Amino acid sequence: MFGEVISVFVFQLGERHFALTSDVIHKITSLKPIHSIPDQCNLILQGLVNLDGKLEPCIYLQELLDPTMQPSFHQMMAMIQDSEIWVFPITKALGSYRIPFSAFQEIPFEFSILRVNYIRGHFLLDQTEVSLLDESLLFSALNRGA
Amino acid sequence: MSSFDSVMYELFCSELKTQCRAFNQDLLEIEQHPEKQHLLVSLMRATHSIKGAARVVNLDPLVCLAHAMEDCMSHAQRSQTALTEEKINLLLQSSDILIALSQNPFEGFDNWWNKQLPSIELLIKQLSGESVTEEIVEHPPPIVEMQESSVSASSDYDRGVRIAAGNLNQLMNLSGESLIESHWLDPFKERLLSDKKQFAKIETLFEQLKNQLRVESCNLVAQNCLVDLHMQLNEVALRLGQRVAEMDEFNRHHASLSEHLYQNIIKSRMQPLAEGIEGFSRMVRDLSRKLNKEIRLEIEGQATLVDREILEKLEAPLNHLLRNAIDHGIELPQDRINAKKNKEGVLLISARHDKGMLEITVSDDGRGIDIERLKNKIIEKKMLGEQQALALTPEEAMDYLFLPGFSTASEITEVSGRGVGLDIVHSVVRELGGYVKIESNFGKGVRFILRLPLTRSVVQTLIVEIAGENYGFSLMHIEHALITSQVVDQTLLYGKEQIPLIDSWTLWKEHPPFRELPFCVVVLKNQENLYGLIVDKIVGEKELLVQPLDRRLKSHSRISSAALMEDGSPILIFDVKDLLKESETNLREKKKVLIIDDSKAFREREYQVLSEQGYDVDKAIDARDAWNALATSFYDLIITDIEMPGINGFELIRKIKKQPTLQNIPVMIVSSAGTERDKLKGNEVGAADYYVKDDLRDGTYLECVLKLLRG
Repeated sequence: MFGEVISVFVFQLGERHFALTSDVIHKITSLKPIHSIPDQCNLILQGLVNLDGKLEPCIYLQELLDPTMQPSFHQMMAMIQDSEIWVFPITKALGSYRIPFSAFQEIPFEFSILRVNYIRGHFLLDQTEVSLLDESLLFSALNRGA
Repeated sequence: MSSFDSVMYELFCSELKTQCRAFNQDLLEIEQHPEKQHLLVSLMRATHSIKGAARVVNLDPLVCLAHAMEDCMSHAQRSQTALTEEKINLLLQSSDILIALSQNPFEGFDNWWNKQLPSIELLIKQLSGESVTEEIVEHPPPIVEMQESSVSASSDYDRGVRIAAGNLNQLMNLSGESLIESHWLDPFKERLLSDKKQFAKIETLFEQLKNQLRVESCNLVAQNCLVDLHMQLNEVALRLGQRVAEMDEFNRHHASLSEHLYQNIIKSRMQPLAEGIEGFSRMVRDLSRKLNKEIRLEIEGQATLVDREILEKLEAPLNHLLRNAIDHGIELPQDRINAKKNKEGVLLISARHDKGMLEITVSDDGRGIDIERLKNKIIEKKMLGEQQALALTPEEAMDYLFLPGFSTASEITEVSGRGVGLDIVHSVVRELGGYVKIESNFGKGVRFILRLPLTRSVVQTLIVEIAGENYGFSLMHIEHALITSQVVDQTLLYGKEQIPLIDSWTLWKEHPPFRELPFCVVVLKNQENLYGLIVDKIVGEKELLVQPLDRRLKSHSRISSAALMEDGSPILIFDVKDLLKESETNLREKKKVLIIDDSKAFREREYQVLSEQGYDVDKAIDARDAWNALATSFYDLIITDIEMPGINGFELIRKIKKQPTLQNIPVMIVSSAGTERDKLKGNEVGAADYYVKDDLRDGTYLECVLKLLRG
């Protein structure tokens, strides 16, 4: 594992910093109007946004990660898996970074308490703690209609 | 075995399709009109092309078949005689085999070829039966010059290309977005003009300042500065003016290009009606011969452009209508003579664009619909009481023909009579956003009139505002949009009628805001009924490029699709039929099941099997994902694999059983490991049942699930 790095994209939701592996990041864009879908939207699924002419589902990622957060939004991020895109508003996009595996502090999944956890581990970026998200768990939850 | 690759095969099949289409058309035409001997030339041209294409791919039997076909035509041309019915049938059979080949996938070619070879060889013998040639003698090519490499197309402009529907949709979305983005330039230009005006004011102020200052009292440096500043200001003012003009020019050009791109991409979805109904002439011919009737099919408006998707979906309904007309509508020749009609019956398909809609009419000059007999059938089937049935207008009575299973046919033939065809016509046309009407003249014939949107992609929409967001209705379902005070209780006085009035907010189970008269009301039409829907604001009419709702959004009963407004913001389009459903459907309380398996294929199979049984199924990819799901949703049953990355299924079950809120949920193990030891371990950790992975449809799996859900 020595010398191996992982490419991640770091972004802010409120004061907290999160990261996703770069290969699931599709686009960063300005804030766009969200149209709700009546009878279907919940705290996580907010509605539809226009991304390059196609209407994509828009979610509030913070509702999955930490519902107590009330971040301000200035940009939108689109992530993609198997050609399906999910868009979510963020506070700020900070950019791509290559992080050595050795810099990661992996967090073991906690089964003793029944609560959701989408964080794979933490690393430090310029003295700031960044939580690396587990995109497979995220996408699975979103597809379930979490 | 085949000696060509898939690319070559595809090109060959494409050529076959094109040539056989033209061949069939001309052959049926010359059969109807033997005097049109010039058609023999185009028939020979088609077979010559087929022969050349078959040579390129080394399919010698097809070369011989095409040559035998060509021989037939050549013989008829030389002897100036009409093609006999027997020869025409053989030629059509040959064409059928070629068309079947062109539709056969490359992977299955060898199998198909081995099966069909005897039929091909038989046809060659039959076609050559009266031929005077004993060896293949090359016929001179027809008048128009032929290329030996016959896999080339007619002209680049007319040549078709295959494009995946998804790619086309993406092109449409991007071109729509490009058009929206181009609209951004106009307001930007206005802002730039405003800056230019502001700059002109700066120049004026500077002049005033210069006039106030006594220049001769300024030192040389100050004087030079003033002169420089004046020059710079003039220069910038000039450049600003030029930039605005350039921007304007670019904007016009760009907007025009975007509009053209958009319109052309929309048009790429369209194709002429003729391309979708080319098989009908042949069907009518074959079926009428089978039933000993003489029927001619005429087509008007062949070049009418129809959306590809609509045309594809219309094939089945039109087929039904024609078969119905041939079987029940048009009489036998002697009966027609007795009724003082021409011996030969006529079926007519006509298409045209009318007021922004597509209208397709299928009519015959047969016996028409006996309305009295129809009413008796309605009474006989106990659909209405006698008095009510007899009081029906002809139009109301004919509406019953569209009901599933309703048929007035005295016998079921293999062609029609089960009462299935018209039901399909009705449901397909409605699904496409249109409607179908019947007009009948007893003894003289029937007309089926289908009215459909021109394209599914672009919908004329009425835009309204509800709870601060835009929604749309297809104009097809709008009776009227009005601002009115003619409201009495929960009804609207509309003309002479009192129609039910619904507040749009109640559709979302929201309490509507306090409203003062007048109300904005959209009067919606559902079959023959009218309903009023109160909205917050009526915005106006727009033509919108619609998109289906993403499959990740669970199917919504009231929303049919979505679109983008001119400013790029989303808008949802209502499904009026579902919106106005009167009876509330009580949703069966679905049992919720969580399946946990790291194998995507098995997970999807389980999902399908359980969903088909009506269960509400969630999927998890491993134990951690399952834990997240259990933290957020309640389940009636958990089904888990054992061998998974991270913690295995046994461990997961142990942890589930330790949680107070989860311990009572039954857990079923589904695993490929099926030793007694594994089953014992499953029992130890608290699993309620153990199923060894097999074909999930053998019944045992579902029995286990049902047993556990019943408790």
